[in-house]
Amino acid sequence: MRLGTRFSAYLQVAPLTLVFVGFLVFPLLAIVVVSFWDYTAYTMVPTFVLTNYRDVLLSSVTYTAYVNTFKYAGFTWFFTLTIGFTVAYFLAFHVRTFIWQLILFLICTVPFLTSNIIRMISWVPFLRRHGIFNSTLQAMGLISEPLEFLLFSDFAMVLAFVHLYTLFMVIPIFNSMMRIDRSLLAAAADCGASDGQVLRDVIIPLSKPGMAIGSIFVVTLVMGDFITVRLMSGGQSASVGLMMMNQIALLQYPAAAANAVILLIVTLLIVMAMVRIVDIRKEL
Amino acid sequence: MIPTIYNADTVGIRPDLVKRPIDTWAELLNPEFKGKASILNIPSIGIIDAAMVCESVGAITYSDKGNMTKDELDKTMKVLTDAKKAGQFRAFWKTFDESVNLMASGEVVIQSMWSPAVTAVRAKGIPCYYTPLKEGYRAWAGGLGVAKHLTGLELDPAYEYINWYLSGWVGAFLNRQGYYSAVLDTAKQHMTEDEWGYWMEEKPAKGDIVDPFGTKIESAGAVRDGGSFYERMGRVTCWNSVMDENRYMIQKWNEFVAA
Repeated sequence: MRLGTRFSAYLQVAPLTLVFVGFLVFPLLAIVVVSFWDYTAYTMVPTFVLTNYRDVLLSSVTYTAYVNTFKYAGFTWFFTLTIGFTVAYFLAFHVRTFIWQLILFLICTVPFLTSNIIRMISWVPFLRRHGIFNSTLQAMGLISEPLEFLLFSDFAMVLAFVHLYTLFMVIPIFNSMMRIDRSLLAAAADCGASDGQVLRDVIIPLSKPGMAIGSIFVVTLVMGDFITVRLMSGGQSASVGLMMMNQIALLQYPAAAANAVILLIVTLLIVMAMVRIVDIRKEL
Repeated sequence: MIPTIYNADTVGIRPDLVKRPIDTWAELLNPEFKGKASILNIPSIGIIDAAMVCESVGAITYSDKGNMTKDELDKTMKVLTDAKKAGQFRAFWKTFDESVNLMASGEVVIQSMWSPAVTAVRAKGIPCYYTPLKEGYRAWAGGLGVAKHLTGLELDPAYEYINWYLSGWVGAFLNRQGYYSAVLDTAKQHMTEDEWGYWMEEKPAKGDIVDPFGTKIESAGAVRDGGSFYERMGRVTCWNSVMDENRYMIQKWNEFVAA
């Protein structure tokens, strides 16, 4: 009998395990193996060399790219968290009826009906030198020369990231907030807590798992991004993902694989740190 | 591999915004165009454009721009990095349409460009000139190859495709974009006399010149920028190639982009 339940438990996890082994573990192992291969201009040479890792770790580009990537991730995380928290707070505590919560929540997701590349490049005509924003400011007489920093800059990149990823913060934070027992808020108020105290001592601590999940989404998405960085910086900035992209375009797969392994380790460390600070299992 | 296509590349300009003739690669680094210049971010091609510029401003003398030494690569990327940090470049482009959009919107007024991109800007009714430069062109060529393992029924259609490709229709299509077909004789049969005269012989167009998709790009009387086939291909300074120091070159290029 006991053996039977154990067997059926294994059987139950088998499909998902197989999918993970086939489509996650195996490709990852392949990347790790290839990262130790050598390469020429047109071929990969199956051998065991450490040159790829040496090239990555000893190159100043790697550090510049990581500093850049951390910077983009940091700014994006800060703004998405601030905006995401505010939107979720409004939805969860200020919108009283369930039906309106649902309607407003769906409105938040509308932009996701279009491709994120489209949403990104639609900033280009808006922000460029003779674009809508600059010509409006000029017509209003606020500026005499077009603002050049708006496009092909770090500003443009962070703006696009925030625009693309804020919803990934809104959803988990909203979810956490909806689980907060409303009687806790009433109890806090009864004990004389001000609105600010309720927010700081009750809502924020209880929303932490949602914030952590949202942060994991946003940070990992930004860490691995290459297309937003390329399009919004006008190709003038490098992120780790873009470095890999350049290598792949030139058939330097082993070098890209070594880069990918290091990025994976760095990103996993960040996620582990987040999970250590906040116990997201409460959420699941 | 059998060659199918080649061309001589140079810089494209917006004559309406530059407002004076451009005749040297050095103009890409001219502070006059600060924040309005661009080069392409494809290392193997961009590096040679960069070398043309560096040689032209007198910063570096190369033994062979098509196969640079590590020292030459270091110096080239130093000149370009300094220019980038000074804000010379508006953007680096990687795809055809990016170069067209940068030029058509006026974000950029001078940049390394490809011939059909110039044609595409003009097809929008925006002036764009593929300007010949005194130091000459950067040239490239491409071709079709057959995989070694093909036999019989797989090999025959491959050859048939190559034969069709070189039989003239494609050649005329490529020529009308400003490229050169590897077999010009057959391409000529698929072009009108006026088209052949405009694209190949530096003759003024007698009627409208259209791109391969039928959009008008020039009116009667226009002459092709850069001149005839012999004039253009006769002034090639450097061919694209995979350098001995390819791996090092790409590292340096990545440093430049990240700088």
